[in-house]
Amino acid sequence: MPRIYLCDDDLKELMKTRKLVEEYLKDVQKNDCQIFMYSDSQKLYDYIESCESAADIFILDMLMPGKDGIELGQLIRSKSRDAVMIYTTTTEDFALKAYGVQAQRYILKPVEKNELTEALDYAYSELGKMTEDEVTFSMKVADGIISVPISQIEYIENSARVLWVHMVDGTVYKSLCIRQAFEQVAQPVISDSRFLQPHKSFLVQAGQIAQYKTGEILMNSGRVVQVSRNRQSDTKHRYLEYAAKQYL
Amino acid sequence: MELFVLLQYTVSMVFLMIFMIHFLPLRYSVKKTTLISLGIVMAVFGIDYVRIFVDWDLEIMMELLATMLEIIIVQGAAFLLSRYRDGRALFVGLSSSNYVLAGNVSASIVMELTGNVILAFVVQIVIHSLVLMLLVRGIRKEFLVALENKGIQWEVMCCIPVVFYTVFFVMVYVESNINWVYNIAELYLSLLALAVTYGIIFLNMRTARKVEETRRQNAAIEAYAKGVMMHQEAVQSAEERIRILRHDQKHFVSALQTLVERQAYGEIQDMLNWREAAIEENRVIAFCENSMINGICCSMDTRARRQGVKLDCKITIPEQIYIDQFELVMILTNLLDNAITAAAEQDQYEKIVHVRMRYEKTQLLIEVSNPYGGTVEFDHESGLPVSHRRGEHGFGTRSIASLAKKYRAVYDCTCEGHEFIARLMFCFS
Repeated sequence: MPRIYLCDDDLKELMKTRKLVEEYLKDVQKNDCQIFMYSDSQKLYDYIESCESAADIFILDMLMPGKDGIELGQLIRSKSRDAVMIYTTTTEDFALKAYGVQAQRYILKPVEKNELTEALDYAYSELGKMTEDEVTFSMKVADGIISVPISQIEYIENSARVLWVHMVDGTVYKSLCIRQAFEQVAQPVISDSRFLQPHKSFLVQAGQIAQYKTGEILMNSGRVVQVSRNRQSDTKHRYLEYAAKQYL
Repeated sequence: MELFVLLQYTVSMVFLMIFMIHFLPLRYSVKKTTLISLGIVMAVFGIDYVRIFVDWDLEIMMELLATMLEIIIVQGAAFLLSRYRDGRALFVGLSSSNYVLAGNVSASIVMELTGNVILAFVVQIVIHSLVLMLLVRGIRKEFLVALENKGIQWEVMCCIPVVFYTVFFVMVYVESNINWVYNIAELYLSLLALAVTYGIIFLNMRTARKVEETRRQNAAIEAYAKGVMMHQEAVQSAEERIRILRHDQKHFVSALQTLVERQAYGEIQDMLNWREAAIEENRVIAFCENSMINGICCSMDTRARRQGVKLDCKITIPEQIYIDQFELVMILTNLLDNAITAAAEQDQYEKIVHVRMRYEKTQLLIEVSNPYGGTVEFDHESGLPVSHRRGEHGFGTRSIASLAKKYRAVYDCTCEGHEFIARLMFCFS
C-alpha cells in the first residue's frame, strides 16, 4: 500500500490538505493507507535521502523555507522514476519547474476537493500499474525450471538454440537447448511493450538501453547489440515511442 | 556481326538498368527491383533478337518500330520502378538512354576500326562502368535530393535528353550516315555537349539548393532573434509596470489601511483582486530556462497564433547543453515550421502543435506533434516522410535528418491516427 507524504510550511494548508486526502481515502475505501505530514521540508528531504527508493505519493508545496518543492522533487525523482508528485502552489510561475521534475499534477491553492480527487485518482492508477502482478519468464535450465521477473531482464540472447538471459543485476541464466523457435519460447517477453527485438536472436529491454546508435544498441551493462538492417526502422520507432512515453 | 550487335545492345541494356536503379528513388525493395529489371532486360533482348535475326521486307520501318517499342519499355520501366511517377521518372529514364551512348558509340568505333570483338566489348564495358562510377560517386546523392524538389520543371528538362538522343539516332541510323563511325570528332563533340549540358543543369540545381539552405538558416536565425527581442520587450514592459506598481505601493497600503479602519471588507477584497490581476498581467511567458530555445518558442508562438494554431510547449532544457545551440535552433525551427504549416491547413481537427522537450543527464529528447488529415508517404530507405508540396518543401526534414546524422541521433516520424509525430533523441556520452 503506498504511503502519502504531505509537506507544507503553512500548517493551516497542511491540515486542510490532510483533511481532503482523508476524505478521499474514505470515499474510495483505501483505509489502510498511511499519511505522513511534514511542515519542515528539510526533515522530509533528510528522510527521503535516507531511503533507498521512494515509490509513493508526494503532495508538496512549491515555496517553502529551506528546501523548496523543486529540490524535494529532484531528490524524489533521483530515487524513483515511479513516485507520483503533486504540487500545490499559489502561482503558475513554477509550472515549468514542476514539469522539469516530471510532477504529475500542479494544483493552484486554495486546493479544491475535486481537483485533489482527480490528482489522487491519477496517482493511484499510476501506482496500480506498477504493483500489478509481475509477469515472469520461465525456462528450462540445467537444475530444473526457473522463472525470472520480466522487468529484471536486461536482454536475452539466442545463441545456437541456447538462451542466455542477462539480468539487470548482472546474473546470467543459461537455458537448455530449445526445441521450438526463439519467438515461440520468448513469447511472454516479445509481447511485453518494454522489449524490442533489434535482431532475430536478441530481445532487449528499452529501459536498459544506455545509447541507441544507428545500427547498434549499447546496453547499460556495456554489451553492444547489433540492429539488423530490416529491423532498423521498426526498432528505432518503438524505442523512441517508449522513450517519449517514459520521459516526456 | 549480328551477334556482336545483339550482345552490345544487351550489355548496354544491363548498364542502363543499373543506372536507373542508382538514380531513381525506388518504389520497391532491392530484390523486387532487380527482378523487374531482369525482366525488362530480357524483354528488350527479345525485341533486339527479332530485329537483328529476322529478315523483314521493310527493314527501316521495323527498325523504327522496334526502337519505339524499346523506348516505351525502357521509359515504362522508369515509371514502374520510380516512387515518383511524373516528369522526374521520365527525366531519369531518358537520361539513362543517353548515359549508354558513350560506351555504345566507342564499342562500334573500335569494332569498325579493328574488327576485334573482345576489344570492342572491353571498351564498351569499361566506358559504361567508368561513367557510371563517376556519376554515382560524384552526383548521385545530390541528384536524389534534387529529385525530391517538385518545384523544378522536370517535364521541360526532359527536352535535353530527348534532343540529344534524337540527334544521335539520326546520326547513326539515317542512310546517308551509313559510315557514321568515321565521324569520330562529330560524335564525341556531341557527347561532350551532352555532358556539359547535364553538368550545367546539375550545378544550377546545387546552387538553388544551397540558396534554399541558406535562406532556411537565415530564417532560423531571424526567428530566434525575433523571439529574443520579443521576450526582451516583454520583460522590459513588465519591469516598467512593476516599477509603477512599486511606486503606487505606498498609496495602496495607505488606502487599504483607511478601508480597514472603515471595515469596508468588500472594497478591500476588490482592491486585493485588482492587485492580484495587476501582478498576473506582468507575468512574462517563458517556455523554458534555455534562452535560445525560449526565443525560438516565443517567435514560433507568435507565428502559430497568426495562423490560428495553438502552440502547447512543455520544455525542460537548461541553459548549458552539449549540442551546438545554433544547430538545435535549426532543428527546432524546422520541426515547428513543418508542424505549424501542417496544423494551419487542418479544418477538421483542432489546430494545435504539441512540443515536448527534455534534457536529462546525457539525453535530449524532442517530440513535436501536429494534426494531419491526409496520408503521409514515407521513404522506405530513410523512413522519413516524403513531401509532395511544390517549391521549397522537404528541405526542413532533410536538414533535421542531416543534423541528426551528425550527432548520431535517432530521428523518426510516424502517424498515429490523425496525428503526425516527429521524435528525435540525442545521446551525449
